[in-house]
Amino acid sequence: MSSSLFEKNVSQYCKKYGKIIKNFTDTSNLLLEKTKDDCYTLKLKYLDRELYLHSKYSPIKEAERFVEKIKDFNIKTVFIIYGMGLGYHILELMKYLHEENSLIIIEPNEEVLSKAFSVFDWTKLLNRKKTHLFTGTDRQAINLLLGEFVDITNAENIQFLTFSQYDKIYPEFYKVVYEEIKNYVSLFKISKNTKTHFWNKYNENFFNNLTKMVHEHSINDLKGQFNNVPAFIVSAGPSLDKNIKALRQVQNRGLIFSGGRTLTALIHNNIRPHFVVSMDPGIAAYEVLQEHKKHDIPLITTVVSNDEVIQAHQGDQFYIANSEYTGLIHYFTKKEMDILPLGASVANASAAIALYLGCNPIIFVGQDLAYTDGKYHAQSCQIGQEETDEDDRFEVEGIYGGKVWTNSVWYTFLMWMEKFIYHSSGKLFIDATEGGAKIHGTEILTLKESIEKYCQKTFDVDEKLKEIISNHEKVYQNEKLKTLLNNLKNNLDKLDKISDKALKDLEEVYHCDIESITIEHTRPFRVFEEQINKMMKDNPGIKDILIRVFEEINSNNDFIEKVNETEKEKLEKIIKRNQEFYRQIKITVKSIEGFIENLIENQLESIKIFGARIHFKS
Amino acid sequence: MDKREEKMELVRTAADYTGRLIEGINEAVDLFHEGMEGKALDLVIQIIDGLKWTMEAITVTLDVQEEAIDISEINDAFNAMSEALENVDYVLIADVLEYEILPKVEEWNQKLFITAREDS
Repeated sequence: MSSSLFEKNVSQYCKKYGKIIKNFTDTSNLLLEKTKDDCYTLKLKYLDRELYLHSKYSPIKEAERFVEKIKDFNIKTVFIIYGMGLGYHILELMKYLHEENSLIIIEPNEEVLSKAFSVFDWTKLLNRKKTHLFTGTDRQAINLLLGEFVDITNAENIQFLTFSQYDKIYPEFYKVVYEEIKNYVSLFKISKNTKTHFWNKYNENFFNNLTKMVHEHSINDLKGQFNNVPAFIVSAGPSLDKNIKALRQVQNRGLIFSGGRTLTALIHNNIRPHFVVSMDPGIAAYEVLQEHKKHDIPLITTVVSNDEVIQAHQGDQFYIANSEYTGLIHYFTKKEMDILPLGASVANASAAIALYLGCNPIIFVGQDLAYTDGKYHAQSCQIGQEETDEDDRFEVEGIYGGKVWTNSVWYTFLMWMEKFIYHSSGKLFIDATEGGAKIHGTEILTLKESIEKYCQKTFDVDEKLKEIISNHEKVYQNEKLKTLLNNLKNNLDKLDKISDKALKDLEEVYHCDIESITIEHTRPFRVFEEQINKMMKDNPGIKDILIRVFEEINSNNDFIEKVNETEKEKLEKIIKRNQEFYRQIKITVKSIEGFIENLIENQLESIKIFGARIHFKS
Repeated sequence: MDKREEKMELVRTAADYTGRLIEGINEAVDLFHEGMEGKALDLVIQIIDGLKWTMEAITVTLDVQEEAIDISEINDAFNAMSEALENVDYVLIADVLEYEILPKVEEWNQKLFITAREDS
């Protein structure tokens, strides 16, 4: 125990996190006690009991055991440890960590952390990259922290470990942490499955949307064009039936954003939204438009959103880029096209779009995110019989206090929205749903109050839109597009040939005795890899096409190196990884070539006819 | 069977039984460390009953034991266990099992086996 050690740790802690840890010297709740093997343990006064946080006989042996029981981890595993105590187990764990491993230590009690700081030197831990020492019991803080560490590549590679009896001593926060991790894991699992599921559909949509994309607008044309104009994000929650009519009062004093599902309800109520937002890649996005599939309200969409929605649409379109297609977008359109954080729902996306356009305040309508009055959607937005999963229901805080029922999908939308609001400082968010789940960070008003308070200035939205649209020159470039498509196809043919050669060589190595394989055998694969890397560098479009292959391979736990793996194990993994890599490339190439051929043969022809029609009109 | 023979039979049974008790204690310690306190506590109840039976067996066979076992040596461990159970302190319960009770039971087991072997 030393005060200079404490100061050294606190100074490092302060440098990293910008806050200090108080030295709790005179405390009767927490006692440092010598153990039988001359170390220290901590005795905590908890309610009317006394509990030990470490063994009072051998905390070192206890720490060794804690680490020994950790199984199935590799160099990318994210370790989340609930309970720091004096940190024997952390010191032991650090011996086994690879620099790639992330480590989050959660100590709910700052007093305990101060004791740990006076017993051991933690500067090495505090200097370690990919490490966070969290203290406190703030739900939002832990949510944000997990957001920094957990992503789609590691969500299924998390070790959440509870030290000692921390889950019994701090059960409420344990539940919070457990739920937050669970939510992140399920969010990324859904996202990964969606990506895998829609991968082919994304690609199909991208190529089918390409002709419109090159002719229509980029979202950048709208950037900051509606500064301080109120935005109304209309969603299909059950409360929408209550106040939808009030939206008529908005007129040109605010922007109304509709999703596909709410469009019919708005039109039936004689409200013409200013924008329709369509994000989903699947056919459902097309079907919810019902009889309004061929509407001409400006459409804000992404380059990979459902192609049928985009083909049927008759008005102006504004495209948002997708982070995995930026190379292809640039290759084909040469346009500046921003990527926006779109979240998981149309309302999430609409909020991000409204912010990008400069709107303020951003007002949510029909954003229940809960089964208000036991309903799933507003009556006006319901299409057919809706099936809900009775098992997937839980309570969250309601807008007017008390609890409301939600489900895991809505909760994901809610989490995203709260995080988005938290990061959008200086903007006002209003929840004018008049029911449903509480969205933290919003001001709660009725829709009528919101309109009266914030829609005082008239702003000629339609005129502004006309101006933006007329400033944009629609240049048709079919021949250029065809040339670019053919060039891309040639590159894909080349990729296919490289993969064939690599797979042939790998097959030969694979059939050798594994004992006789050395690192020398893997040298030729590096040549193939270099060829592919060069192609990706020369044409970022190729990089986009292969990105999902890389993602799949890199997040596959079967191929990630384990800590302290033998050379043979490493080699075997390299061979299997490469085989899967080249197989996946071949599948991807074949699929993209199909979309390109389809586009050249069918769509570019129809553009000529479309072009003639435009010419005829003028 | 004469009285001594009966007692020797009891020593052999107790020697075997303490072997199983050692396994049970180790299992309970592991369960506590794995966070399965419910299962571990069920085992602790059985362990305490088993210890009571063993101590009775030791007491009635004192006169035939090659190396006499002093069961009072475990009193401190029982006191510590009772305090740990009262506080529902799983760390301390596991500690007492591993560092106080287990060494004693291991010692008894050895001594009982010595007596059992000497006789055979």
